[in-house]
Amino acid sequence: MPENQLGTSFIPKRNPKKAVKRNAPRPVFIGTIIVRIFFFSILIAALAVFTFERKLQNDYAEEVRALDSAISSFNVESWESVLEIDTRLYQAKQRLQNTVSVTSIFDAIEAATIRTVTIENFDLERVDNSTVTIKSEMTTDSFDSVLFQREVLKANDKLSVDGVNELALNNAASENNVAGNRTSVQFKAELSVDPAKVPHIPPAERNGLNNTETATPAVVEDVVPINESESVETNNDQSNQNGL
Amino acid sequence: MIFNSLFFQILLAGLAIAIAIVYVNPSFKNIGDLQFAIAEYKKERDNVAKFNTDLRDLAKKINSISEADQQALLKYMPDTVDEVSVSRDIFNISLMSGVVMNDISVSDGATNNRNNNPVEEVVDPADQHKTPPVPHAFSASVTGEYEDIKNFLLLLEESNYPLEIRNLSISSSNGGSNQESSTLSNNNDLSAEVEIVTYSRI
Repeated sequence: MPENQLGTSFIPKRNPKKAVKRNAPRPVFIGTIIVRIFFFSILIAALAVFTFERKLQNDYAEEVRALDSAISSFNVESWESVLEIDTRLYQAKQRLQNTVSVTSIFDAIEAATIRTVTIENFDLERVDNSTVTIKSEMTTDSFDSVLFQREVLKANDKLSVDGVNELALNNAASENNVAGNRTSVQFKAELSVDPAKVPHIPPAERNGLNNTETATPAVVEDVVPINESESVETNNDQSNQNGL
Repeated sequence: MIFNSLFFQILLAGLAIAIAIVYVNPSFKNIGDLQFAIAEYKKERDNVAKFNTDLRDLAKKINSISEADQQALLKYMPDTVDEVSVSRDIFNISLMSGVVMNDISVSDGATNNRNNNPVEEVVDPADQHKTPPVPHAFSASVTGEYEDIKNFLLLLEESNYPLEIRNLSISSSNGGSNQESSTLSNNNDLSAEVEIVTYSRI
């Protein structure tokens, strides 16, 4: 074949000297991977945070609505009614728990007043819920009776003797008394009463107690009258005749 | 390629850090606040619901109280005290007891003060928020025999509303000498000065 014919062929000829050029593999850097993982993680986290925040905002709005609804269901009139009754009950209970029966105090004093003692004046004061004080001016015929009266008062479980004082002897001659001088001794008894021991008992309850709540007689066993007071008795059952 | 370039990697990392600082971190804090607020609202809603339930129960309990008992309570501790009505009641009690009422008057305003109540000093700590009743004092002067005065005091105690004796002073009405005729023991006419206190809710 002539040489000039070789160069005119339409068939491409492979150049045996030309090496085949192939693309080299791209280098993969670990830093690139980390950066991309980090970036996409942040993106996913941002998306999750956004979604979760939206959900929480909806929940929050729902809770606010529910609270408003609960508050709006509050009945002010009912509340005021309950409050009024509660206060009234509390106040009534407070007074009922601190009742004092003055007549029970009188019963106690009657029971603790000996026959020869008369009461000239009687002052009672309720200082507070727990204190009732009594100041009573009394007259008797001798100092022995005063001593005996003091012991009888001390023996009474409802009365507490704060003091027997302001003793005054009156030894004036009696114009009408042929027997001669008539001696009297005045004194002031200061007493206190524990209100818990003399509560007011309503009639209905009192009737249910079969009249057992009457004044407890004073028990005076260790007091011995000295002379003429030997005949003196406590007037447990003779209060109308003696004492007050 | 540009996506593999160092500049792009730095830009990407910077963008990620910026997103974390500018959006994610504040959002986390906001989420925490929201969760706390939701928990608080939920707790308060439960409290309000429980309160409303308790209130309904109490209202039912009040409604279950008989009308007579409610009237008795209202009588015992009224909202206000009608001084004329109380004076009339005390006078009627004196008539029933047999004593003669010489005088009755309403004590001055200084006495009728919630804060000036000498018999209100002990209050249960659980009831500190509750107000004590308002006292209203009346002064009365009566004369009569010992048993009548005692009966007068007994009838005061048995009133439908509190008529408490705060002060009582009894003496012989015909002067205080040492004569037997003037002592309390002889069932003479005695003179009694009584300070009576009643109460109202407000």
